Amino acid sequence: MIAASSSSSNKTDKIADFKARLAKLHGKRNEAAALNHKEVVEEDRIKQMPKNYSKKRERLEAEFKEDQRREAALAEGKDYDRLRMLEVGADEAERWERRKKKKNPDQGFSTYEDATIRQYNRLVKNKKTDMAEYEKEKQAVGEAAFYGENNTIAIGLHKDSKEAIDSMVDDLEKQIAKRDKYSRRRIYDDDADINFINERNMKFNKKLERFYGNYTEEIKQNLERGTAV
Amino acid sequence: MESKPQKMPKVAKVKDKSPAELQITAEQLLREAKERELEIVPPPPRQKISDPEELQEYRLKKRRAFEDNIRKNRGNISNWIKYAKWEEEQQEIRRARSVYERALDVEHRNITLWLKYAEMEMRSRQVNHARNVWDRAVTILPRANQFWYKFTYMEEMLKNIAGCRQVFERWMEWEPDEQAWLTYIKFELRYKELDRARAIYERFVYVHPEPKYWIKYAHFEENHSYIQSARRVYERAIQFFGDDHLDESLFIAFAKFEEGQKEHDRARVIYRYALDHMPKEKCSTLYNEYTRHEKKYGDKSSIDDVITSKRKFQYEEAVKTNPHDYDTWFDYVRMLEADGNVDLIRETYERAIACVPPLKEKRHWRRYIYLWIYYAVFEELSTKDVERARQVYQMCLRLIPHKIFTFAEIWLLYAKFEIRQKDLTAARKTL
Repeated sequence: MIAASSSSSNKTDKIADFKARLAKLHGKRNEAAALNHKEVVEEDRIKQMPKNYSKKRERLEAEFKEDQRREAALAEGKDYDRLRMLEVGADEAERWERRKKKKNPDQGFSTYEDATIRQYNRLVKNKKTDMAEYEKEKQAVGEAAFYGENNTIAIGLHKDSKEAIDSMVDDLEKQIAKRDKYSRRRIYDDDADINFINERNMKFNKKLERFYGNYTEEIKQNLERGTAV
Repeated sequence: MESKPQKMPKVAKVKDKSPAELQITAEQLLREAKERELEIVPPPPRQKISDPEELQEYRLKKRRAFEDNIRKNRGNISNWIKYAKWEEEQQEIRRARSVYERALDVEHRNITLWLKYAEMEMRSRQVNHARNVWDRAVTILPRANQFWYKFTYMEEMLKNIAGCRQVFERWMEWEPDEQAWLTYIKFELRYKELDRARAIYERFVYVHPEPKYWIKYAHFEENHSYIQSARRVYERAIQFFGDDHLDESLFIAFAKFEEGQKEHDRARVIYRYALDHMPKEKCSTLYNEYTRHEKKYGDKSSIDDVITSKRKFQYEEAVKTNPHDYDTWFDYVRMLEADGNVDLIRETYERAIACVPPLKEKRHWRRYIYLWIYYAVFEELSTKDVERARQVYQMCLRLIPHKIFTFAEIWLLYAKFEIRQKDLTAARKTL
């Protein structure tokens, strides 16, 4: 009996042991599956995010810190830019200075000629020079005509290629498109005084206002009031 | 015959001259008129053009309208331009051309006309026509720079570099403003033609002979690392302007260039030369630059040198204006003593003493006497030249008109001096 029971208990033990081991293995498997799943999800998430996420985040954080420091400096009454310059090395400061792009703000209209020059400079700056074409042209035309004085006759030596004409026409169209945007349309002011009888009259009055408005403001106010101040 | 008796014209007489109760203003009238929209006509019905005859009819109508406008007002260029623009939109390039030509007959000096004409040819890809138009425009109005800019731009876009260069050469023949020259130079540099750019710079600085353009030329050489040429340019510039048209900016630029080349002695020489040859009024920036240079690269003596030379100039000015202003003389000689140039000091003292006060009154002489005293003391102490010191004292005593007034200090000082020289007899005689 005892032997049987021991053997049976042995068996149950074994079975229990077995079961326990099995359960543990199951557990491990499940755990592995769960971890894998988590990692898959994580990877998927990272893949979905924009390419430069980490860099962008870093940059944003840096900017935020900058702003905070700026606020702090302002609160104390100091000039943040000067403080920053104190920390930066000399050569780095020089590099920053060089990297700052040269601005070319529009000074308003002066003369048509100046406007043309400004446009010319802008177009030429944005144009790419093609040295290969240059060399080809030099070979085709010959050195004497290529570097001619102002009385060498070079008519007929140059053939216009289709691509060149195309590029010129495209560029011209772009110039025209930009020119059309030059004047903007103003909103019509319903409440403004009507001092015209006609569309043409309206434009003329606007022109008068533009040129003489500054000087006649006081007179107009006096008239409105009825008496001079 | 006798003239008829003048009759009063029959005008309705205003009986009631008081203001009406209900008034209206001009603004109100206008506003009401606008609101009634009397002049707004409904637009003509939109017609879809379905076949060529209708197109021709439409075109005829428009053309007639345009021609009428032109006939009404020949000089109004915008009518012409609108007409030509419409023809271009209708893809009738030959008609547009003829419109432009007629317009140019009316006013050939109008820049917009030429610009629009050329633009039309370019847009329609008629490149040779465009070239013709630009050529004519540039021949008729050579001082309108816009034509040149646009012409060269077109040639460059068409990759016709030889043609572009020709146009630039034609332009430069007219010796235009500096902006044009610089544009030409930039064009050559775009294609890395340094020699040609140099040649153009040569012509440029003779056409526009200003120091800043010489400096620009030299900068150009420097930027392309032609240091010898740059130096040569500066030297030529200085020769070119000669002595009559000296300009400090040129010297400053030259010296800065030498500084950049680490040739500090040359820079110093340049500054010295400039300071010697230029009139003092124009030298202020030059001085500042010189002091800056010495502070950076010179040793202490050269720095002092510069500063003293500057102050010397100032004093020279001051004493020239007022030779009897003894205070300035005092400051001047004191500064010179600090400097230590004996001959110069002596010379200055002599000059100072030469400015005898005009009146024989003691108070004028008071300050003057101090000059003598300082001179004597200087001779005794700094140079240890006893003989000279004695001479100074004696001259001083001779100079003072003892009949009128006298200075006890002088006698005493002389006596003490003699005592110091262990010449007791002389001392006793003096006293």
